[in-house]
Amino acid sequence: MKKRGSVAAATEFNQKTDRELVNECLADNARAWEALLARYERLIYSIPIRLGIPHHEAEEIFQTVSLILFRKLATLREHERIISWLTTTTRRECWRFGVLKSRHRRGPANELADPSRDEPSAEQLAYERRMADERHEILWQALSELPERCRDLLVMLFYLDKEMTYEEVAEQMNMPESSIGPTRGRCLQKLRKILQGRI
Amino acid sequence: MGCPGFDQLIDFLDGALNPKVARGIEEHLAEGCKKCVGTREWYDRVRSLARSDTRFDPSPWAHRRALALFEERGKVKPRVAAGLAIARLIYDSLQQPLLVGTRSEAVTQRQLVYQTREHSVELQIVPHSKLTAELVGQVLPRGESGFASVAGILIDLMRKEESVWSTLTNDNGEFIVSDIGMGEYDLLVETRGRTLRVPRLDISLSR
Repeated sequence: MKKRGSVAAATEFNQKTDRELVNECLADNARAWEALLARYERLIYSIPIRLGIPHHEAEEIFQTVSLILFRKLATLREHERIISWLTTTTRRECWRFGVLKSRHRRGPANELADPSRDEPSAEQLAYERRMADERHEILWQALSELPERCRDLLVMLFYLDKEMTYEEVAEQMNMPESSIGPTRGRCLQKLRKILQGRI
Repeated sequence: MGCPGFDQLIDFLDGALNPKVARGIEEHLAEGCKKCVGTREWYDRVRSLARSDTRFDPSPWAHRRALALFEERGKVKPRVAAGLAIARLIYDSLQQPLLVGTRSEAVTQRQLVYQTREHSVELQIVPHSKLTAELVGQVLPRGESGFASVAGILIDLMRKEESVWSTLTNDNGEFIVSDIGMGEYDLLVETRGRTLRVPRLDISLSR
């Protein structure tokens, strides 16, 4: 997948563990931060999108979670469980975002902070256009027809940049590691049936 | 060898099989088995299509903003280097005398106020269930108008020195933490320059 200028960092840091990347960030290496973001930004962003939150709001949540991650770099302890931590924190931010929105009608201060108002750029529009790509849409529609659990599993396996181990997927899906392979197989078979050779 | 099972073929394509089994499947595919080659091609198409989908990419603008955090914030300092201020409790609604006719069990929420020299932290505990509650708070700068210094600061709810919830304050210094078990916590507030600690915060509604 194309990574918007982070190719060099991704190549150099691809093999590093999360712990090593965090340590490099703390040693003031901006490219390590770039690599850490490249590794997890799809995971973070996928959570509000899958919850049906519109893109401009998902981006606010993405910004908040990125900032929390950045602020916590020095105190993160379980580096090997960073996926879990990010998932939990992002889900909570989605919830919090919904709660705060419903509690307070967004006032002028918040409106000013709304990133969608800052830069409704050509880039943003191009981004929206790319998303409309027909074949992507066919695949996505087919995924949407799957049971939720299947969809979540396949999204995790196919769409997120971070190559997740079965152990990580099992933890995310709250299912035994030994079930991942057979479940994936069943879900893929269903997906293939729904697609019926359309891609 | 004959056709591998679907799961095994997918494992092969994901590079998750041991070399010996993988070699067998490779040879089988090289023989041109229509069914298995068809499955491989289908899986490769789905996988590469999904990988090239930008649906889950934050926009380039959001990506750049997140990258810029590093430059905007300067060096990442460990929390210990920032210094610590312990907040003291100055108000607890549970310690106030009950109004005449009010039953002690009738407490539906609890207010707490903590202070350091530079900040006060107002907390409200609202029960969710018998076992869980919501914590709504606001960090306020003392002797300063406006909220600029308390907007977007990190809040960490800690239990036994482990972070159980991390969030940021909004533009008014407010934050919200939900569905936390009743019990004792420490609340850490990363104010500019130093960490404010609310020690032994009792999340409960009983007197």
